[in-house]
Amino acid sequence: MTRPPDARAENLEPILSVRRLTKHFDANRSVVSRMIHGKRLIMAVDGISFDLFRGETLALVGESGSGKTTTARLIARLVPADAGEVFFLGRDVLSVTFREMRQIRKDLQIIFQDPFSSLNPRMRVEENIGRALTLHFRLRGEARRIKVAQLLDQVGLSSEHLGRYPNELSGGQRQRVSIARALATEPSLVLADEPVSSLDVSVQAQVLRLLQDLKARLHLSMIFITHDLSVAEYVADHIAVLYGGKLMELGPTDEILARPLHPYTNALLAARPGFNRDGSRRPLEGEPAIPLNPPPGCRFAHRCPLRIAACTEGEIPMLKKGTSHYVACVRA
Amino acid sequence: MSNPLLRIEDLTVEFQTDTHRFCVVEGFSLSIAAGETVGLVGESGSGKTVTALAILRLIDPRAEIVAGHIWFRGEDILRKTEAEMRRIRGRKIAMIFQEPMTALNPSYTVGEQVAEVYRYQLRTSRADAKRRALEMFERVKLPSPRTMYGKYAHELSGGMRQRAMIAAALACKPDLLIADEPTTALDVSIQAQILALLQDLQTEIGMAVLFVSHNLEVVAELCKRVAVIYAGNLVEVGTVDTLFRRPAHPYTAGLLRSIPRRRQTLQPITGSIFEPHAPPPGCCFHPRCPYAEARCIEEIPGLRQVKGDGSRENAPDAHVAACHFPLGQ
Repeated sequence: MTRPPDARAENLEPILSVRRLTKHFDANRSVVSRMIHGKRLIMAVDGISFDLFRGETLALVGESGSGKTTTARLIARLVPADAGEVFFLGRDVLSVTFREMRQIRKDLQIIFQDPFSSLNPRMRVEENIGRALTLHFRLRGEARRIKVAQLLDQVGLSSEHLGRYPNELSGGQRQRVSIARALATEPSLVLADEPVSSLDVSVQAQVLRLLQDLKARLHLSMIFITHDLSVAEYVADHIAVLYGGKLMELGPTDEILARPLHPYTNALLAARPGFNRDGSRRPLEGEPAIPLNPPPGCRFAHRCPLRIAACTEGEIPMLKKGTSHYVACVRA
Repeated sequence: MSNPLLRIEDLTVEFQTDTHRFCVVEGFSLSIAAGETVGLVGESGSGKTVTALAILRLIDPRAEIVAGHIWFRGEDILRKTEAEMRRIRGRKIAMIFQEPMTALNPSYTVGEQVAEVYRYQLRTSRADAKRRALEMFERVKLPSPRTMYGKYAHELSGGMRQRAMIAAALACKPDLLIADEPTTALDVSIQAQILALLQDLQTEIGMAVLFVSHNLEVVAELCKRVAVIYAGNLVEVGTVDTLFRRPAHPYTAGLLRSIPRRRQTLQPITGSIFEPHAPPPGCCFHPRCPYAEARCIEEIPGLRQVKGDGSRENAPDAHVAACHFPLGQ
């Protein structure tokens, strides 16, 4: 599959379209709790929309409780959405049957943060990766072993790892196995949920490099979830900044880095530890919000240094500020 | 600077498992001056936490300090009795950890735990301890200290817990704070807050800080000097400016190249760390080193001053590296 580098300019169809995706969780665990506290909803993902074009990487960046992981889980239908639409390769992911969903999952694979809990500890590497091959391609026996060995080779491991159990592998090797398993079904979209966050710096660099190489070689599209802006700027063509379940800003990585429009994006950039040691940085006060029964207006208003009355009065519209640069801020 | 606050000399720690005995820290030497902030950088299993814990003599019972000295204000910590150590810990040298949830006692309120430090170390009255603890809460900028005093660790957010732990650690104004990855588990914006707080308190108290971290960027921001440790061996020490601009050890250079940057292809260090019970001969980094030569396999390199470093011989801030063929020479 060839991909013109200026896919957006040529107005190609996006591979994934997410529209007003919404998920609320009930914070009350029991009827009694509901009677005491009344209705308590956590707006984990609240009306998020974006497009992903073929061969592109979109980074979902945010802190704890921003809704980045839930967004990925909603897209893969690992949790049911409350509202919104997800179009993937022309199919409406949220309304297809279970059987069709299995077909979709072949094209849409996930890499999780913790490769220890996402690999089956009682299966050898061969079985961990091979199950997807049996399920989707009916590969068995020697044919499957050969294919698994090829996949291992692709992620920088070798056939000597076939018979290993996950606990016999290092963290970096386990994450490579997870990547191989995700690639086994030849997906066109990979959702990577903090795939390098639990790894050491040097191993993180190896895995990031591997993901970049694979993406280029296999023309993958990727949604890359991370809390680390340095990682996002390395992997992503576009960055979506989330806060408290809402999309704050979305745009091309270079623009987001050079001209952040949202005060939260700005604060995130300023909070990056780095080589500026003049101590002039004023860290953002307060803590990331858990969107429990959030008041109207901007979720970030309670921490925002630029807050005005209009910020908390009503719905903040998403403004278009460039070809593909959007921001939800009345001050932008 | 003739008499550093802390001088670790040839510290060697061995670890015993069911089947093997191996070195986790080997001939480690490092000095910290009063009021200085030194970063100790290394990856998982490099021995950085063991080194930090050895300073307080809190290492795992299966580990043993087999050689070396740890001079603190001219006295060897390794020769102290347990009773003497209890007066040093918390009062002279304090420590904060990566995960305050496990470091704080879940069955006492965080306030009680800070007050306990005053009760135990300074033998103050209950009321006085509480008053001082509340003061400390204010200094670490915990919102509404009186309410926080009665909270349990699980009721606080990660950032608040870390503040409570900092309050307990700094209660007696120690001369040295050992901070073991204190911001690793925190969100970016909270990490920035905690780093700023540590900097403020350090200036206020005038303590020295040994900042243990795997994150080069955090260390660059906070520290004046950095020590890089690989597989239990100190490989390079220097000021942040020289070490990060002109790394002399290939491992340090590899770590710096592992930081993702926009529009730059990552050049990760190849391979992985050796099995601890089977260290390679010669330089411990040679199997992964792109510049390794025959000599690196035969001879263990000692720490030597990097040429053209500009500082005097054996100056406390000299740039030293354990490499036969330092980069840029």
